[in-house]
Amino acid sequence: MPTIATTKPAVSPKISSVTNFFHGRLWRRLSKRKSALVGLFVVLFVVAVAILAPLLAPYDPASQSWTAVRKAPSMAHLFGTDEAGRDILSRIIWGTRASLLAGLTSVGIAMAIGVPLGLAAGFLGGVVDGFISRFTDAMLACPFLILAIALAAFLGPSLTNAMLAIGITAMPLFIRLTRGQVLSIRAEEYIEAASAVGNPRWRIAVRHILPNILPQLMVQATLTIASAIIAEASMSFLGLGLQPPAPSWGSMLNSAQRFMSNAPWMALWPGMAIFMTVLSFNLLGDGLRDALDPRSR
Amino acid sequence: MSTSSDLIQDKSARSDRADDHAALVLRVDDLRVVFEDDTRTVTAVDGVSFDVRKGRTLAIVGESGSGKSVTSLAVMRLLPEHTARVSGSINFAGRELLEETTSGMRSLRGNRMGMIFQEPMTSLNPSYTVGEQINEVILRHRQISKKEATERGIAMLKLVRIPSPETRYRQYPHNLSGGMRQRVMIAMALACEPELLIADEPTTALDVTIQAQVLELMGELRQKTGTAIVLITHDLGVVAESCDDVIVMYAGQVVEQCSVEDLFTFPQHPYTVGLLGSLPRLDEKREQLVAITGTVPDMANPPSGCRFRARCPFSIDKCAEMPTLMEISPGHLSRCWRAPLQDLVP
Repeated sequence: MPTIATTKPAVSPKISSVTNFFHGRLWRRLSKRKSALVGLFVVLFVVAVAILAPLLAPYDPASQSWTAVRKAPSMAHLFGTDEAGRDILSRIIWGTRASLLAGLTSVGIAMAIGVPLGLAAGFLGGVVDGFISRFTDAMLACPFLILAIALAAFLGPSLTNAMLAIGITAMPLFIRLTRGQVLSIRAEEYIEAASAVGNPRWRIAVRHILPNILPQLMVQATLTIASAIIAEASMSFLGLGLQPPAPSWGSMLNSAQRFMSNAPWMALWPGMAIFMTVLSFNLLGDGLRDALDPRSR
Repeated sequence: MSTSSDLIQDKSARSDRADDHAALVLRVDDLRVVFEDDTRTVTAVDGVSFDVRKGRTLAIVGESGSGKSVTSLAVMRLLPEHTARVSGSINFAGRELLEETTSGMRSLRGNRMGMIFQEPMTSLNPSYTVGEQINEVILRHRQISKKEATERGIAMLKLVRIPSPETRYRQYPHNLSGGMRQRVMIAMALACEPELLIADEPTTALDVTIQAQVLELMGELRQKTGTAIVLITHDLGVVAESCDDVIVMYAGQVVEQCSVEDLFTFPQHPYTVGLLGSLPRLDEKREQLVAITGTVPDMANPPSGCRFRARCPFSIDKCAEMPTLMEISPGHLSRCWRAPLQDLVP
C-alpha cells in the first residue's frame, strides 16, 4: 500500500523562499542533483507524451482487432496487444493522460481546500485551529488508499469521482503542512513588522505569510502527485476509476492479471509506466526538498 | 528651560507648563500589562508612566525581561489580545489608544506611528523587493498613485542615504547588508512622516560603526521631521549619544526617570548606578567591570517591597516596603527609599 511521503517541516523559512526560486538559485541547486534532473526530465517527457498523445499513438487505443489478440511485441505492435487486440503502446500513451490528470487534479483539489484551511488554522489559532486540526487528525488516522477507495465507492465509479476522492483524502496533508509552516512564519519579525505598518490580518495571511510557504507546498505537491497517480491506478485496477474501454494504466493491469502466464507483456508495460512516472515525481520532489533546504548544499 | 525639568510627572507641575503640553505627542499613564495563561500570571509592565514630546528622544533602558519591549508593543497595541491584559492610559495625539478600534489602530500604525525592530535581517519579508514593501506602506495610508508612491519610496531611500536607491529599490532583502536593511526599515517607518517613531533596539544587531551611522541618521531625521522617538535599548552608550530623556526600567517598573545629563552625572537609583558601573569606559582606569550580582526576579511572583532589594548594596529594612517614584530634584524621579544617593556612593 502506498504511503505518502511528507516533507520535513524543518526546512528553514528564513533562507528558502520564493525569491530563491525566482532568482535561479533553486535551479542552480537542483541542477547539481543528477537524480532530481532525471526525475524532472522524465516528468517533462510524460507531460509531453500526454499532450501529444493523438500524434504519438500509432493506433486508436480503443479499436479492437480479433485477428491480433494478445500478440507479443513485434514491429507492428511495439508493446504487443491485449486480450481484445488493442495496441498496448497506444493505450499506454493515452493512459498517460488519465494518470497525469488524476495526479494534477486531485492535488489541485487537495491544495485548493487544504491550504486555505491550514492558513486559517495556523493564523487564527484558538477554536478554529482546534476544530480544523482535530478534523485533520481524524482523517489522517485512516489509511490513505482505504479512505480514497471508500469515498470513490460511495461517489460511484468514474475518473472524476476517483480524482475527487483522492483529492479529499490528500487534503489533510496540506492542511497540516500549511498550518505548521504558518506557525513558524508568523513568529518571524517581518510579520510583526507587517502589522506594525497597519496591514489588516487577512492581508498579512495572504500577502505576507502565503508566499513564504510556497516552496514547501511545492515540494509536498510534487510528492503527493506521485501518490495520487498510484491511488488512481489502484482504483482503476479495482474498477473504481476510468471506465473501460478508455485506457488507464490501472485497468490495463487489471485485465492483464488473467493472462500473466501467457501474455506477460500486458502487465509489464503499464506496470513500468506507473513505476517510472511515480519514481520520477518522487525523485523530483526529493530533489526540490533538498534544493530548498538551506542545510544541504 | 533646562532639559531636566521637561519630564515632570507631578500632576500640578504638568498643568503649569502649557507650552510643553502643546508639544506632547504621547502620554502613557499607569500602563499595566498582565500576561495570563492557564497556569500563571505575569505582570510584565507595572504602572509605567511617561511623556514623549515632539522632536525629542526618550530612551527606555533596562535589561532583558524588564518590560521595555512589552511597553513599546503595548503602545502600538501589537500584543496578542487574548493573552495580554493592558490597562491604564495611552494617549497619542489626543486619542486614547486603548479605546481605539482595530481599524482605527491600523490607520495609525505605519502612518502616524512607526516602528523599527531589532533584527534587520528578519524584519523584511524575503519574498518581496524592498520597493514593494515600502510601496505597500505608502499606498496603505496615502491616496496616491503607484507611480507617485514609487517616487516617494526612492526619495525615502535617498533620505536614509542608501547608495544607488533606484537599484536597491528593485532588489530583494537578501541582496542587502544588515545596516542597509535597517536603513530600509527606517525609510519604511518614516515613509508616512509619523509623529512618533518607536525603535526597539534598532542598533543591537548591527556592528559598531554601522550603529553610529544609524543613530546619527535617526537623530538627523528627527531634527528634519520633528518626529518624537522612543528608543528602547540596553546600551547606555546609545543613550548618551542620542537621547534627551531616560526612563530606567527594572522588573516591569520605572525605577528612575530623568534627563540624560542627570542620569550620567547624578544617578539616583542603585540599579542605575550598577548599570553605569558595568559600562566599560575609556576616561577612567578600571581594573574590573562591576557586575550587578544576582538576576532579575521571577515576574510570575515578584518579591515584596523594592524589587531590586535582593541585589542592592544599599538595602535597608525599609526596603521591604515598596518605594514610590519620588522626585529627588526637579524632573528627576527615583524609586528608592535611600535617594538621594550622593552621600552613599563613595
